[in-house]
Amino acid sequence: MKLRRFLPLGIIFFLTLLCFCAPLIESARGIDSNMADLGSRFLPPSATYWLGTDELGRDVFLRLLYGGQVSLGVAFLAALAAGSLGTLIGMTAGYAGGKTDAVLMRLTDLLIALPALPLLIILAALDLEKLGVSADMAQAKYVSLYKIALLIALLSWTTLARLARARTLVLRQSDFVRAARALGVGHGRILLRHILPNIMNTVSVAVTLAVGGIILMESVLSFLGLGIQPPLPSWGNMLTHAEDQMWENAQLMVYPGMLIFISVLCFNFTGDALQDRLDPRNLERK
Amino acid sequence: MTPDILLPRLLQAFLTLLILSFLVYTLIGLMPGDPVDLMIAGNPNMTAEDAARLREIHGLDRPLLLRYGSWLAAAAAGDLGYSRLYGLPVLEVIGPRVINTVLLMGISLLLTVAVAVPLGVFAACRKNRAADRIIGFFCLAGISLPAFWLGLLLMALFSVKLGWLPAGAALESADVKIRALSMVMPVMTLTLAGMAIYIRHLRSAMIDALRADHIRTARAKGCSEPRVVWNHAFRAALPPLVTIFMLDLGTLVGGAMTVETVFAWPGMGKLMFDAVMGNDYNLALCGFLVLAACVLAANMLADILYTVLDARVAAGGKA
Repeated sequence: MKLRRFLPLGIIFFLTLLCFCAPLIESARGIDSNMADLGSRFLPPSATYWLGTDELGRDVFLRLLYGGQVSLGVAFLAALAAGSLGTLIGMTAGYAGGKTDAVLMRLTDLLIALPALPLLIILAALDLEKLGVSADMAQAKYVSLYKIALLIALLSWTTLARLARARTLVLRQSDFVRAARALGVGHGRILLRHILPNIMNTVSVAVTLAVGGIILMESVLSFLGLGIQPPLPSWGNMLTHAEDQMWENAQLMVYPGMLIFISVLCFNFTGDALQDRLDPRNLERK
Repeated sequence: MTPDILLPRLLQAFLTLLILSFLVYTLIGLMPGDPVDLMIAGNPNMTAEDAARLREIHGLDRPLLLRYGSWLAAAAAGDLGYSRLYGLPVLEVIGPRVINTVLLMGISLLLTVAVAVPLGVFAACRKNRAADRIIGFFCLAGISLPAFWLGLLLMALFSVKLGWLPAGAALESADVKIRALSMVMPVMTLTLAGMAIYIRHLRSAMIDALRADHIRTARAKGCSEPRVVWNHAFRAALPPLVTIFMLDLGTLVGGAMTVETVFAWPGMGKLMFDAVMGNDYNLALCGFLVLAACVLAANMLADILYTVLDARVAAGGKA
């Protein structure tokens, strides 16, 4: 029972660790994962290339690990940003009430209703230089990583904001908050010291559940060629050429998809289990 | 829903669209290159002065608000401009694409409901027993599966390995059999990928409904179990489900979009993708607005349906 509950979390931890150990494995085996070698394209798995090589002769196993760094990194970054943004907006709306609440929640509802992926595609295609980012920075290797994380965060804070608002509305009326008010504690301090710690439970579960969706979003965008830009690998953009490769080298499209699937599944499992534990309706079982 | 409730909602949706159009207009102006760059790209005789003159002729040097104003005025008169990529008026390009997307989403939605309703109700009746656990596991797996990868896997299996189905959509094919066969995989992908979320919603709505007092009453007066489940509980679980269905439409459109791109299905999703990739700003703008309008309309429809389905609201009370 215990083991089953910790298994998904354990897999995530192991995968993350493995991905971020990629440079160590790379130097230990003496292969450069970015080095294209057209003489050794589409090699089958061997002692040197554990999972074979891709269309440019690069080691698939190492590319998967580096891709995992990017995919998981974007997911953690975006989830953190969406969580902070959602909590901030939800807490502000719930605590301030009145017009502020109405405007913020109207915005949230609108964003929930909009088709996210088409919007994301438009946003991802924006020219950073026209937004005032210098040409050097716009061309930098890791810029697509931060851009995608930011964009996904901008579109996925809505559920979190609603949750944070609902909890804040309840807490605002509670005796301890009113007591703090009566003692003359400022609004900022009340939000930070009295309300925030009490909504962290709810928010962190929701963030865990959101990570899965974020990994999926990043993988779709990168698969379409609008997300993480090569040569930086991500599990999504490693599938971009899958349709051309599936006739002769179908194994290449199995690995990245499998890793996306497993990591999203583990996050959803963990989130679901946490949610079940916090849901008062499930108390009757115990 | 009476007109005095409907009218403000319509007005609100219209205002939302107006604001959206301005936002998207601004965003699209921030995409790489501009129409004049594209015009002169293939012509080596053009000088920088020519480009500047062209910009002046087409009004591209005017401030953003003025440009948006003239775009809006033309749009109000029914002229949404031309698509650069297809060389046709935007509306003529979008029209058939909308029908194709509705076709894809409609068929898979019907299939989804046909599978999800029995499974969801069954899982709720067997709450926390083995069957429910198994369905629950497959649902979680379904939610975690990247739809585009599922499509690729199906394609590798049915087109490459077995050779049973064509790899891409062939909706224009004269042969009815090929046309039908080419629709199998996109519909299958969208159904398999979308099913899980509905089963989960249905299960939790049914569990809530089965807990209600009127269910105990129905059982006490000797209703048969199927009658209790379908006539009493399912009927009560329906209104929140309709809302979820409709509110989820935005996500559904996103899912359809990926499937369309994988299978080259000529729908709105593929169109939007091609438009953005091909720097066809006007098409991307109008495509997104059409999608947003559809989703907003569906949300409104959900509100109306809710009042029809929920006896308490229909009777004039508050739900």
